[in-house]
Amino acid sequence: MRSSRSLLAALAAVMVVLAASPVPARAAPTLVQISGTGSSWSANALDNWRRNVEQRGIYVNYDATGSTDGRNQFRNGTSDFGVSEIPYGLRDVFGGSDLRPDRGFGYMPIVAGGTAFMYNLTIGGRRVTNLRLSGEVIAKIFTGAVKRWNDPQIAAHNPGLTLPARNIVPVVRQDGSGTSAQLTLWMSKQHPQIWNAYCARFGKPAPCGITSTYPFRSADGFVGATGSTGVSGYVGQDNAEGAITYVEYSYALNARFPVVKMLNAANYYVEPTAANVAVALTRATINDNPSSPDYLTQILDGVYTYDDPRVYPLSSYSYMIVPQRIEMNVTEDKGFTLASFANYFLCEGQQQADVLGYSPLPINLVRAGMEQVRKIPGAPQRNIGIENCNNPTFSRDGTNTLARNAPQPAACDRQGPTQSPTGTAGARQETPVKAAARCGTGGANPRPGGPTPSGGPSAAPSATATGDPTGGLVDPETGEVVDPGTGGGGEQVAAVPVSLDGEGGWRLRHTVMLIAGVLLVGVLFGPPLLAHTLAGRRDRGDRR
Amino acid sequence: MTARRTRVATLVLGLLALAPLLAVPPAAGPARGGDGAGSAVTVPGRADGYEDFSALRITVSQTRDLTNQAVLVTWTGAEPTPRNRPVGVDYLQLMQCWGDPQAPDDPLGLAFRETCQFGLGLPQPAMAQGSDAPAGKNASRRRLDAIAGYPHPDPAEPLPADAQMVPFRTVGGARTPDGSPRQPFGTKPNPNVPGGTMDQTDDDVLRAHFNEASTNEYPYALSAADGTGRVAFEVQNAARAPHLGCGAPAGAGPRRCHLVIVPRGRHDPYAGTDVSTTAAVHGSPFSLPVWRHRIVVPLDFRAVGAACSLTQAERRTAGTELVAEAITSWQPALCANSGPVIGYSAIGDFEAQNQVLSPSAGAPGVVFSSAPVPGSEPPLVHAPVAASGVVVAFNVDGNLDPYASGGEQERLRGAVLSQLRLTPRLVAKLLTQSYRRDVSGIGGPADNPNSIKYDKEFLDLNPVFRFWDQTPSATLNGLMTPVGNSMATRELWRWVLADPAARAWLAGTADDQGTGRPGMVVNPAYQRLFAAGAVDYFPKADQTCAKESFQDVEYTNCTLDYRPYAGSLGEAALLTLRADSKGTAVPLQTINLPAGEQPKWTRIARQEPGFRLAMSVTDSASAARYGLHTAELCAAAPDAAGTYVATDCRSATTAQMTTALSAMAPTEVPGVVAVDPERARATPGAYPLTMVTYAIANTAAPADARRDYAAMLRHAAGPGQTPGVAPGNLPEGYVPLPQPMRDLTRTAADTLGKATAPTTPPPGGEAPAGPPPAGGPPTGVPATGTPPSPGPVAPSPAPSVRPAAGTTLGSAAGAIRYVLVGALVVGLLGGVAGPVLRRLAVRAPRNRP
Repeated sequence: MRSSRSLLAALAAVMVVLAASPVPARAAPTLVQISGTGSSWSANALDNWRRNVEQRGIYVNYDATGSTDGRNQFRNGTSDFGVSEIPYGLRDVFGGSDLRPDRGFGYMPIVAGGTAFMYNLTIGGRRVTNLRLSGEVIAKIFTGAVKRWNDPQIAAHNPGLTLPARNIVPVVRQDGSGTSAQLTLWMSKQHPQIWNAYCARFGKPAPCGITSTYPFRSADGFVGATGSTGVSGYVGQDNAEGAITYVEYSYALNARFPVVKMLNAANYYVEPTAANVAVALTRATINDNPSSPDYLTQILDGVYTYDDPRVYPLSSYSYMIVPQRIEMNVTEDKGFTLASFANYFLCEGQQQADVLGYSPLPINLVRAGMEQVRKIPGAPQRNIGIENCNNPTFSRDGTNTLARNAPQPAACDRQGPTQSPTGTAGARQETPVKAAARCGTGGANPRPGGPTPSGGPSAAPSATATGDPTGGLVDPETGEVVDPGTGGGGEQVAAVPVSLDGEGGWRLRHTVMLIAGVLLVGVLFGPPLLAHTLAGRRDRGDRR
Repeated sequence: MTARRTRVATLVLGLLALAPLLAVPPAAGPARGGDGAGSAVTVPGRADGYEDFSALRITVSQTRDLTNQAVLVTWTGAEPTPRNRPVGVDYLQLMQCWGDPQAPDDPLGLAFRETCQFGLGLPQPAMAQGSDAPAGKNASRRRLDAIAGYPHPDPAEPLPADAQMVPFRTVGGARTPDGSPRQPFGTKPNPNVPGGTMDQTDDDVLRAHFNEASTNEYPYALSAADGTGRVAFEVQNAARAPHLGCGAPAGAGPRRCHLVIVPRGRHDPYAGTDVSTTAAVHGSPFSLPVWRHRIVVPLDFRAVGAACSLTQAERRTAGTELVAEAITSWQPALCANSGPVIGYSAIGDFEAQNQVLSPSAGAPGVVFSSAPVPGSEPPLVHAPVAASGVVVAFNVDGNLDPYASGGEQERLRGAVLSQLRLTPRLVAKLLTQSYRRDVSGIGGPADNPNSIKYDKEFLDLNPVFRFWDQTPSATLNGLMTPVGNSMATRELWRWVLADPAARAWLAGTADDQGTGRPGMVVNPAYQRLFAAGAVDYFPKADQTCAKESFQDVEYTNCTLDYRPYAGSLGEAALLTLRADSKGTAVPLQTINLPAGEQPKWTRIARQEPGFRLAMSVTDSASAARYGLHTAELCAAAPDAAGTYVATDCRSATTAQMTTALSAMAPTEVPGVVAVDPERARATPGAYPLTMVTYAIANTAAPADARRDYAAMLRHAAGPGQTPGVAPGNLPEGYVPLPQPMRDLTRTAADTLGKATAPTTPPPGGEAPAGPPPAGGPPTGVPATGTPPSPGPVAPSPAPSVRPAAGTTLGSAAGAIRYVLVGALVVGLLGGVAGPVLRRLAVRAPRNRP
């Protein structure tokens, strides 16, 4: 009985929905399945939106094959929409410039986020979670100019850590990637000498500029991987120590790994949280010339240098490339569906952004996005409006709520002799720092009531550390105890690096070196001496 | 075959996203829901014209109360699909159609055929090479070109003589052109010529309504040596396929649609000659002499319900993917009658726990995790909402050696295998790149088997693989695993490490591969990873790479290229269905590179239907969604003859997962239980990898939010536990929670709904259905010899403090460092030998008399 009643209710609701749909002269557009391809930077957000609109009757397929493929498929008409971090037609000295499609299209911002530097580094067996770097050092790492973790340039930003003499393994995307484009665009603008010098090694003239296809040689210690899951999967391996990659923040959260706190123009080291990205993107300018082919694409120069202390400099957003004409299998029904989907994710869907490791789009970008939605054929014009948009950044006075309420960084995160122990991204546990680098009582110790988003795991490290049956940390090659067992103690961690590649302690390789040295001496001096001795004996013998 | 067709074929491979296009049998998992039960239908084939399909019996598992779901199509009495020639004779084609098959004015079904979702020319299984391939149109709606022996055009065909295809007609009345000059296909921009245009193809025209990613057409369903076959066919209702309109209001009730099966025979449809060894039966299934054999099964759909409002704000939830299928089913039921719209984001268990404790305004009010969150600040309630299991799902066809007879196994040639047995040690072998083929460029310990089909332990438990195709590549392209960290992964590792044989093997003890053969050992890159117990991710630790150089640049193909992660549990299941590892391998493709593009490694091809051997770690709900079988997890020991014998096999069935629910261990949060591999193993008939997912709610949330979340919990404890495919029910792959757990959830809902101020967690007490722990400590996982059991609390030992005993490879100097020593030793010997020889040479003549 109950089910038949709900059936009736459902039927009635269908009638209501049908009756309420905008009815132009033609039959009302219906929701149909749509398919898209593109960016893996924004795939975590898109996948969750797709899941949540199913209950609203919208079925969307999405294949995260990379931005370059997304642009190609949209151009060829094999997907209904594309997702990319960069527009068509940029000059790319490595990947080649792609043609603008010969079809009506527009760029629509869909989600913002920070391109994070996820790394895998331990000191004395404890994961480092509070590493800080400047943009210049980051650029040098990804161009092979800084090769070791104990490089003085890295140490200068990390006064609280005793960094190990371990090789840095930069992990880069080997497929056509919008994330690579974001990184190289930033390097080409902010550190052109470093980037141009690197490009020159691949025979490319300065200025080198943006590329989706990151150039690298594995002989230089670089590792290439495919897709965001590929690079974050590599760095996330237990034995990938020393590795660092660039990837959207959400991937580091999922992998439970830390990200670099990056130095901004206000001399603070910050993490790409939703709030810090939101603050940064208030300085993003967009191409607002509707007649420009790159209308609505981002100009980030102001973001890189914005001197608010909360800014994460490598903040950006990605675009959906949407059709604007009925052609290449775009029908009014598909346009209607795509517009309904877009209306969802520009507003309600942005509520999920923070949870997933992205940052919600601010009002200016949502407004611009809605302009593009209106141009999609079949878009339900009257449903698109900023008034009903449940976007978490909106406020009554038009400012960005998220940016306005963004917390200021701790004083301990300011460039200087102190270093905050607070963890980052998916690894919130603290990394103790040297006594000399500790901040005041408020900074180094957990705040009363627990550190905000990290309450859960903070209890665990000590528990598991004391549960460690070996009671000490043993260097795998020497068998020496390098950390005599106080596992969780702070000072130990800061003071005793387990220097794994090439420093500290006598090891097999040193024995080999010594043998080699002795042998070399033997080879140089042995034969003449021997010959001399033998000759001398013969001489004596002859004399006899 | 124009370049355009090749391009489309390539795209098809890349695009297929959802349609379960490949034949798989029903999951050996929980029973299907009660709705539509008893609506299975069996229909016979007919003898007609030159073909005799009268022995064919096709069964459709469910034909009433359908929604968007998979139905199982199985058959017997078919002519086996030949495996020694290209697919061209003796197979079936399946499609969904919305028209009336018995319209009085349409006795030949000519109008009916226009209503079928079919014809994108999906790729044909390669099967075998040969000149007797069909003329390339068998999966399309196209008219045949002139073919020797076939009348051109068919005089009985009522379409215009110059029509290019059988048009498609939507339920709304739109009809595609047929491609004749009076109804041309139209043009599209030419991507290679700016401003230029080119003619559309029939596929382009169809893609306005359905495309490779959305269609459910099944153009090549193959029959095994015993004449049977199985396909999980995805039926689509009006919400997913509005152009078909199935289940939408139509007259008195929801629109009825039809499953059409077109059996393809082995005779020239016009001359009647047997072409099974010489040619193929050419043409679209819609060509008249083929279409006459069609078998039609009515499909009755449940009325398509209203979708949730497009503008209503969501109540946000987030958490483990284990609950994703259930939430997706519950969402539309919850929003009905002005209920809350629930938003759900799939994130890891551990991040979910951070989120529920986060004071941020954007944080979800409810998270889902298999691990409880201890502590009382903020006050939390824990409510069990779903029970499912971690499974090893597989998609394996009986790919028997084509040059040998498998005796009694012969009937399995080409058939879908429904049983596969694994042990903790076999799973450990698969997860540690210990088969040599799982290392890029083929590496790992030199005496280890090349792949699982050469492993004695596996062969003893699964004897059919003794008769497998001997080609080395006819094997598993790795056990696919999801990326990231989760409790589900941790439980799998705990189960592996709870087995003494697996634990010893992971620590370096060789297994027994039989007399005269060296035992198999763990890949050394993994040997020390589990010293501290279970980890919560799937390591891919072997850093070996295949390398090739091109134009002075070295390219590497490493583990993550060769055996990449799946993006999620759901994707792992989908890739298993497709038998697609996503990996790349040697050789480097350097020929015909587009300008400016770097060379790429060769994509490891998807395995063909009839030849598949794919496996993944996923969850029981995802496996059920794609109709995958799941492996039995066994204990095994050698008998007197040294043959491994399975002694205790457990599978992810409703009964065994339910049994496991009663054998869970309490955790430090009162009332919250979690899986304990030791205890599950000691309980007969309990599936050891059963997981309970909890909704964890923050009682400090605003009152209206708490009310909505409480409604969700009440639904989860009520209709949400009724198995079924209807919106709001419990999807296949989950087991209904026992009553005590549901009571706990209702209590939690009351607590949450009523809480006006921060409250304490709900009254806890005993583990709901389980016997009290046998005197053990409340949190401990007892057991001697097991790895130190980390508390069930998520924050794990892995990321924070680890013994520095992991393998810590530096930059690869490797054996090269010894070359110098070697050279110097040789040099020194040479240096010493020189003068000595000279001395001897000088001395020798003197000694002569």
